[in-house]
Amino acid sequence: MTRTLTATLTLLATLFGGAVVAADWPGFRGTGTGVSVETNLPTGFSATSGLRWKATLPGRGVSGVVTHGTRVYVTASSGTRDDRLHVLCFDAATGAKLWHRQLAATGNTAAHPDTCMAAPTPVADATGVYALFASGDVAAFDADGTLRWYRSLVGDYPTITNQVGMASSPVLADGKLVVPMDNYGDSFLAALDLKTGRNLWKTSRSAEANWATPAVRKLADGGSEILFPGRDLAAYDGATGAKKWSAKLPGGIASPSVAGDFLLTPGGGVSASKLGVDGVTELWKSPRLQTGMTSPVVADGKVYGVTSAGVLLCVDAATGKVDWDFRVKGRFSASPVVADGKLYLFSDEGKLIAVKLGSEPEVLAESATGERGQATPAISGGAIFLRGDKSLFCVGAK
Amino acid sequence: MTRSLVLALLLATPGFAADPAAELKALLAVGKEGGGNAEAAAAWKRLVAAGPDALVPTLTAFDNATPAAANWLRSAVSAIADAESLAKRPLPADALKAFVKDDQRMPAARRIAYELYAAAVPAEASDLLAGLVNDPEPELRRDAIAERLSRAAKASPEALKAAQNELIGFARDRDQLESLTQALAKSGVKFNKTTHLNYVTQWLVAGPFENADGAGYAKAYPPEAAVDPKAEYAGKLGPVTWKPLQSGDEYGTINLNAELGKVKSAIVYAFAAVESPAATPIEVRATSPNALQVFVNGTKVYDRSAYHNGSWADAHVAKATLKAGRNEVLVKVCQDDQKPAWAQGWEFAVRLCDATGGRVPLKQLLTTPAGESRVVPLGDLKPAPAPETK
Repeated sequence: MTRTLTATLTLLATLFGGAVVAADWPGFRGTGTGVSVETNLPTGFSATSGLRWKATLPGRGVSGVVTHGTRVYVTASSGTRDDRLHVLCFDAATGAKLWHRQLAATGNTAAHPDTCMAAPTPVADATGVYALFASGDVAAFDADGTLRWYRSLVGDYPTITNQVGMASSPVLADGKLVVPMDNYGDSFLAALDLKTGRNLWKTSRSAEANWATPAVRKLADGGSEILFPGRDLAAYDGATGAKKWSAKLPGGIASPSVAGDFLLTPGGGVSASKLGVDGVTELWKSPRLQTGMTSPVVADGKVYGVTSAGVLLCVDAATGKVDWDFRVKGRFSASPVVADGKLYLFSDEGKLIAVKLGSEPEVLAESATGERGQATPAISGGAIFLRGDKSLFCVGAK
Repeated sequence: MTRSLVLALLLATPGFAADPAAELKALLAVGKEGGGNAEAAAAWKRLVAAGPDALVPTLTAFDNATPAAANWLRSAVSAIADAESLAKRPLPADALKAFVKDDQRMPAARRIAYELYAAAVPAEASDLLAGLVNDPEPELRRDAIAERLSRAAKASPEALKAAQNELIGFARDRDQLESLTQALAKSGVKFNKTTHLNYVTQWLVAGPFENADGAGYAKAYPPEAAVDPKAEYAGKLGPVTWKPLQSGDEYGTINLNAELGKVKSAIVYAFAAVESPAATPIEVRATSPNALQVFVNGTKVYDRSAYHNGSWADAHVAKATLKAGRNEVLVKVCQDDQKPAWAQGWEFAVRLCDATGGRVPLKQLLTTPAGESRVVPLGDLKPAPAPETK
């Protein structure tokens, strides 16, 4: 065994022996990994049991649900022109709607029918929620629904355009709201002040479309690095927005994952790399992991990815070797998530599929919401949150 | 407790705003890149704390709001309404109804007022809605047409047919128009969507010009300076002259691949002259998957440099003002060099309409490359080819 492989295996054992994420699910794919430390989770639900609550939503959304403490936040868009924007807050235990705020899209709302203006997943912290919409509207609400600030990014930068529809989600890093706004016009990555929404930095990007969400790497000195794919993968200083390095790891649809120094980047397959101070060292590339719009997830030394057509693959995180593949029914836009020894898939047709992880996959349960859905599930508070086109489902014991 | 004491207590309450003018002023003052957000946030709290009394003033403030400021106002209205709903307190229905009926107020604010009114008194709201088929607010218009059609359908087949005949003239949304057109066709009634939507169907087209590496998008080729129908230009593939093209598509599409041959990294200019009876504001609404620039009377009113990210109806909207008499519209349609099947479209459609998307009374001034001129109705389609006979 080479020193490099030994080091890699040690690293992976450290990083993924047990996933290190909080029980809140504060942003896209939780903390950006798609993994939760929650335990005793349900495998599914039926018409008569297993559903803690269900709430009606005012519009569609491919954005994921996020949670912080007892609050559940979700965005939606509606209207003939998809220009009505909604931010809602529910009580996690009861499903009671705590507040609902409305905005109007100030940017162009033309988009592919598979998506809508409520495409970026919001991000939450202890103070409230930050909601970005594909129309370039971004708002911060306190946990009680008080509007803290609002920005029309298209009002500020009028050439912003991507009429396929933008979907990159904002992330919190370095005490700032980092907003990815790659598009065919004024393309940029910006950090906004959490209290006022004003620019703290704004870094130009190539004028190209991008649907991926940046990954945040926490550095030993307490700072952070924003890893954002596109034509290349680029790393930005969270404090200043300065570009630190880039690597030939193209992407732009599915999103990267970072755990310590381990980096997973989807794009023409999936690559695993070791992050260094000023770049990456590629560990392996798996051309078979063609995950389409979904982002792969790493748990317990394995990488799991699902193709849009429903082939679930398990790849050894140390070597990139395919351990198994397995076909599940459905088409998949939502990314897989992992918790409690189970992998959860949510199909476009609205089915939750729980798969027991191990040397052989086993479908534990399939549950139908009865409505179409494309949002990545959220896991928090002993429950799984599913977002359909019309309803929000909380799967868990009452 | 005396009235003066109550008033004093109210005024002492931090959130109370007897007159929200100061709060609204702060919200209207938000500027670029978050300027004024801190002041607006404090004002927003006081405004929302004022409760239902602040609803109509806040909706009225839309009159002077930028799109960004309007969202501060909109979210305040939704917060006030949300709080009243949770507390099971009624909203001021009469004031909201009066606001909806006030056509001097901003359409978007009137739509919000209508929805609050409908939530407060749903039984009465449909009567109000039914009278709004010609409303400037697109969703009110659309929903009003649907309401009237629904009522007619419940009355009788004859009433429904009469309603379809009457209401299609007010319809603007493509799906609603299609539905009504198909329904009328079953009764033998033809409706001309092309003229209804004011598509420009006849163009003089010059091209292709060079657009290697997208550089042609920013280059002003001679037609941008002036259009001379007799001119000859140096094109990408050789000399270029103006060629008349007429659409046969009811939504006015000119397919450049079909008309000029498939050329990548290329630019085409399309020119049309229209006659307006009076000076009038218009919207130029274009549908195209290509990078696009639009000039009205020599002034660039729209540009978008993105290629192949959708070709949604009316996705490109520019505001312009026509003068009385002759006006010139020039469209620059740019094709890139992408090779995937989804990146091959090279086409455009343009209509000249009012702010509701409706027809404005224009005629087309046709000038042939030979210098002949004539006036024709806007929206004339190329006759469909005769069916082949064996």
